[in-house]
Amino acid sequence: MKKQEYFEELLTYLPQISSEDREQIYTYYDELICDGMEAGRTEEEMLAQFGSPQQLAERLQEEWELQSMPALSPVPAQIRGSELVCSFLPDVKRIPYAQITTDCCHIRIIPTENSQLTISYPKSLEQYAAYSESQKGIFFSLKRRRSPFSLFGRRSGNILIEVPKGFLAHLKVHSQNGGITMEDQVIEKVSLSASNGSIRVLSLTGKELELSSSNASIAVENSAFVSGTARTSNGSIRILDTIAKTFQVRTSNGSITFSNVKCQEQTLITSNAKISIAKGQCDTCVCTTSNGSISVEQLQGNNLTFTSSNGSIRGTLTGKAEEYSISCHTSNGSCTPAAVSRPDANKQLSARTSNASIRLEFNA
Amino acid sequence: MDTQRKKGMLDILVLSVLLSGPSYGYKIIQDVSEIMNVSESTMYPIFKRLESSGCVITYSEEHNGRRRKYFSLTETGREKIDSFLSEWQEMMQIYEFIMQNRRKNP
Repeated sequence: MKKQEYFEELLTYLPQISSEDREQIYTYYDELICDGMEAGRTEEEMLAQFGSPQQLAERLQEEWELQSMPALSPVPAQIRGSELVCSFLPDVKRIPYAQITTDCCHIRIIPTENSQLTISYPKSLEQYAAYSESQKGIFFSLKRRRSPFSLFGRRSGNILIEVPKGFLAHLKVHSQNGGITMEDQVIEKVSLSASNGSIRVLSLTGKELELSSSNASIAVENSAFVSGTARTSNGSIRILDTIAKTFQVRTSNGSITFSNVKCQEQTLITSNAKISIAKGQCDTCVCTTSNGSISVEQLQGNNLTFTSSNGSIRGTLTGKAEEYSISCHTSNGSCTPAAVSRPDANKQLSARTSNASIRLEFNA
Repeated sequence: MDTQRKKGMLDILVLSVLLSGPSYGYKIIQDVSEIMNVSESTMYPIFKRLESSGCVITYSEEHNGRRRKYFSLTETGREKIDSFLSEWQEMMQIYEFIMQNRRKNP
């Protein structure tokens, strides 16, 4: 991998950073590579030392989280049975941001009729809980800080986060080595990240949705938002009955399924796995995989791009073939429809693979 | 070494390298890795942190047809090193005290 590709990939794992930060990160690593090369090392060697783009992104992320977190104090929690419960600010409108970080726990986020944001966790995790509250927002952490003198076993637990309806703020939840489920929420901006744990979002209404996981699956059902991203590796992504303006979905070694999704601009990228879309409506749809097939069923769209290698591209499109300028190509396999260039057509279909067949039919 | 402690130490280590004059990323990492095992990739946030906390200031200089960013120690950075050293002075006294007691009672 060359450095240009490396940094492009790195930045896809850091969607939230500012353009100024992007610039600085690039300049910093580019300088290191140049200096390393002057000292007799190769570009590849230098990049290999940084780890994979995803690993580097994770390490940078961790570092930033530690820095952005103000000094934490013990949590003013109340005991409820075998659990501790911690509630924040009665006036929820004044909290612009809430960040919750946990380790080895499963997180469930549910709505509440109360006006308080409440976090409940097992009593056994009391010593790891810390929080801070300021104008910037709420930071709550259940992260175990490892000390060289105490070797404790990893305890797991369930954490319940109750969010008031219509939380006009940014809720950010990070679960290390654990999954996250979220149900029935109306939240302005949601960022959920889990490492080695799956993410499931049911019935969310919001402006922005950011989901990222590694080594686990992501599912979104019955939701509506303006822009969304879902990113994982080695796990599948399933989106059902959802409406969005833009939606970018990316995994590797996992399949992507879209069923009954209405989205103006959708991008679906995987590798070594299949992509399937059923009953979809979009303006622009870009599907990319390698070593996997692409299947579409009743997909309606104006700009359709399907790219695979070693995988077939099949299915039915809603519309008339005459409305499309068609560019289909495979190197070793049958190909329907044949390429037709219609310069005045306002709809485009492009399908490209090699070593497999293309068979797309139009259903008016 | 404990990661939290290592992080705190690393800041001071970087600052101490700059005591002998301004330096640039690659060189600083080389100098620091003589004593502590650091990964090149994770130094970026540390440089940034030192810059935003006013411990260092930066400037660019032309080098072989490209810009190179130099870090220079500030008075705040120097104070940070000194407070680290005085803290450890105290630590060392405690260490000595514990050691003496340990020796007396083998």
